[in-house]
Amino acid sequence: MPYDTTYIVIPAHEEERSVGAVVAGLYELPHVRVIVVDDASRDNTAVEARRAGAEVISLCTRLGAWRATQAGMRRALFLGAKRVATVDADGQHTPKSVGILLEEAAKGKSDVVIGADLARGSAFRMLAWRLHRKFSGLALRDLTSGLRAYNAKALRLLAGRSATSYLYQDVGILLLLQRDGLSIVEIPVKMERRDDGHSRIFGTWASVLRYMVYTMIIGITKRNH
Amino acid sequence: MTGIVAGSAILYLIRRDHLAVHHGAWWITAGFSMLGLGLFPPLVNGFAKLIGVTYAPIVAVLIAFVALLIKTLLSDIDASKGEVERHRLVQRIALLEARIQDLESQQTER
Repeated sequence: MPYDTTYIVIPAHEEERSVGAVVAGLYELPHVRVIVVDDASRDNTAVEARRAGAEVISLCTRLGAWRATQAGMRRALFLGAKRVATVDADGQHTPKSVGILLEEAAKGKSDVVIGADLARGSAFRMLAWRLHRKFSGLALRDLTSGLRAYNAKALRLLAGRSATSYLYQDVGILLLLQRDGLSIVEIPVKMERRDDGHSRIFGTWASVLRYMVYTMIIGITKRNH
Repeated sequence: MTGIVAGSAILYLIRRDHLAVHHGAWWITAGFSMLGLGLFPPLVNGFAKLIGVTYAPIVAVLIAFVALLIKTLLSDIDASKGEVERHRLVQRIALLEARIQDLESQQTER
């Protein structure tokens, strides 16, 4: 594989309706290989992803989006990846925005590049971002964006044991990267509204509460001073 | 009395492999302590006087409570480590299956 191949990791749980189109769209970009991580879906997520040309790895137990992403990163590392981008399976991240992200990542000025869309989301999400920024001391604006590019150094850190204990890819992972001295930069992109309209984390009140409490504790305990 | 019953139960559980030996060590110590305190009340009274507590029995309860708290904490720490291992194993299985697929498709290409 040529050196500058980017492996795109897509964690997917029950996304049979959108994953095929997402994968097909990504293959319009140059020098990419797509790995879809089927997080113990009971629908046809894996089948649809394969049909669109992605490599699919299937988890036998549901691990959640972050650990599924980590599985994809471990696979990418095994295949010799020097750069991995993460993209959501629900169609929020357009091929155009992924292209913009990869262009910035190729410049090599930063270890991690985040595609940020501050216009998306409700007032509640904005409030949540402000709160978690305060608790964690992170200067980033879009804390929950799943559109990111990681270089080899970031990959090796995130594929390791210390990153497995995190539940979400947001604040905790960003603090982990920061603690190890990796540079993180945000670039503006436009994201689409979700295909089916409901958020994974902000879906039910219980999951919102769980996310908020977890993220606050992580922010406070893992803050880099 | 409780100490004797608890101690016997613990030994039985270890024998039947329901309780791993290293956990058993903790509980046996706990059992003996309970036995000791039960058979020798003056020990508790003496200690209570030493630290200035007027109602002696509460000291025994306090010690038991703190011991239980520590045990629960250690238990949770163990569980957390176990979870990380389990998650990495699930990932590993998926990675190994992917490698098998790699090899199988190489085979069929020949």
